[in-house]
Amino acid sequence: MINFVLPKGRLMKKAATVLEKIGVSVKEPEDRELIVKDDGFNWIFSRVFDVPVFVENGIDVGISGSDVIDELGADVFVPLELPFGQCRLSVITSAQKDLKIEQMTNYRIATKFPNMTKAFFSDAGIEVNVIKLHGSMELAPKIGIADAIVDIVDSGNTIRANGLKEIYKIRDVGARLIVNRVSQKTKFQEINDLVERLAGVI
Amino acid sequence: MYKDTVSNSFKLGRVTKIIRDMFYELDYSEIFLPAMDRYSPELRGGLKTAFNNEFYVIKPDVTSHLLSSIIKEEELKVFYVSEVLDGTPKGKWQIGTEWIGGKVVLKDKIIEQILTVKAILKALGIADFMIDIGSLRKWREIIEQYHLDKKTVYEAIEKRSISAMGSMNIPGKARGALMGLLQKRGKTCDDPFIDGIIGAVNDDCMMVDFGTLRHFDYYDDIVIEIYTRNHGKMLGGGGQYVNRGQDCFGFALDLGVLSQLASETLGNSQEGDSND
Repeated sequence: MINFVLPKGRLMKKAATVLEKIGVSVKEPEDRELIVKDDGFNWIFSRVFDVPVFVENGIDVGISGSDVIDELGADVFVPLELPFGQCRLSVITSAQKDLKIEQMTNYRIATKFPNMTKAFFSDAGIEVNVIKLHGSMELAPKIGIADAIVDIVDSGNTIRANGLKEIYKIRDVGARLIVNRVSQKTKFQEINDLVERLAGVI
Repeated sequence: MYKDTVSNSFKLGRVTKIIRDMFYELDYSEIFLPAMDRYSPELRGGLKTAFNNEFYVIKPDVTSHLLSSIIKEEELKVFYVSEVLDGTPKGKWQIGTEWIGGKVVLKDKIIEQILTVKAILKALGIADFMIDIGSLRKWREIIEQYHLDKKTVYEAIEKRSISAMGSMNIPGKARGALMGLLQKRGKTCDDPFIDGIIGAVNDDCMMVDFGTLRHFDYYDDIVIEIYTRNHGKMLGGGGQYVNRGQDCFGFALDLGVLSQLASETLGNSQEGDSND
């Protein structure tokens, strides 16, 4: 039995499609079900930011965005880069400003990713004030609580619709298969088999 | 502010006392390193900070801290109890040993320390544990044979990243050798040194797993990881290193994980600490 945690939302549907290719069907939760047992798997459905936490602490396998894994510094194995969830973590400012990263000293930066944001600006030698928000990033510059944001950009439509523009890509982001370090040993064959089968279809 | 540190201390204290007594019986001396030391590139882990225009590291990895403090060649058979920070204010309490230099040959040091780990876990009532043994030498042999970039290979192995290995611009034979070693797990491995250790320990808890690669770059060859299927986190680990030309081996156990697992056998309340 493999305990497999999936993030609720868009990534879950895409993860289910890839797993379908190796004959594993994700039984989606009914109503408010959080765990579904089915065909050799315990499916656990969690918030996006909790997936690496679950896997680090004992759930065997999960699928998570690389942004969340890196932000949390999760101590997990990351055997596979999956072919979905591709986007980028970028610095975003008002579309009216013509600004470079080097000019952002003492800027207030709103983000869901404070650790990666601090690391990026610190490596660039630029001191900024980082404000942690949990959502609605685009609102922060509009209402004046931040001068810029660091957030995930996919098509760019949302930021353009809010009068913002992407000025610097910090890193590429994508979905990853992650594995608990102890489970990799105690369920060696089952997990290797899953990884090999997935590697064969992506 | 952290909550419930007092009752957590009682739990850690009970486990620590049992292990500390065992170390004293085995002729290990306890060492006390400062919580904060001047920054040095040799120090691993810990929280970097600045004070009065000087850079410091708070509660770094103990092995690297000890090695940077040693000023002469001598045998040290020591143990410590310390909190180690992971680059943030977040840390974990560890109890561990370092056996540096002396006349005892490396293989015997490793065997004695693995037997010590086994004795500790049994004394704490922790059953079903496993000890995996890996070898950095085996990875170095492939890296040297195919002239691979050590940093890139180690980063891929540490994450068991099949994708990273697949995207490396290296010959197919090299990739095959790396993948083969990553998947090598069993009771023996045709390496006389490693098989000799496993034979001497002579216990079903021992397993060869070349995918075992510890984070710290001071390790030279043999590394171990200790775990149980009853907990999602490693109980501890250790490895072999060289200091001033002397063979050394040490291991550390996570006191937080041990206290969770041992709470059933040792009891959860404070009553056990009474002097009655």
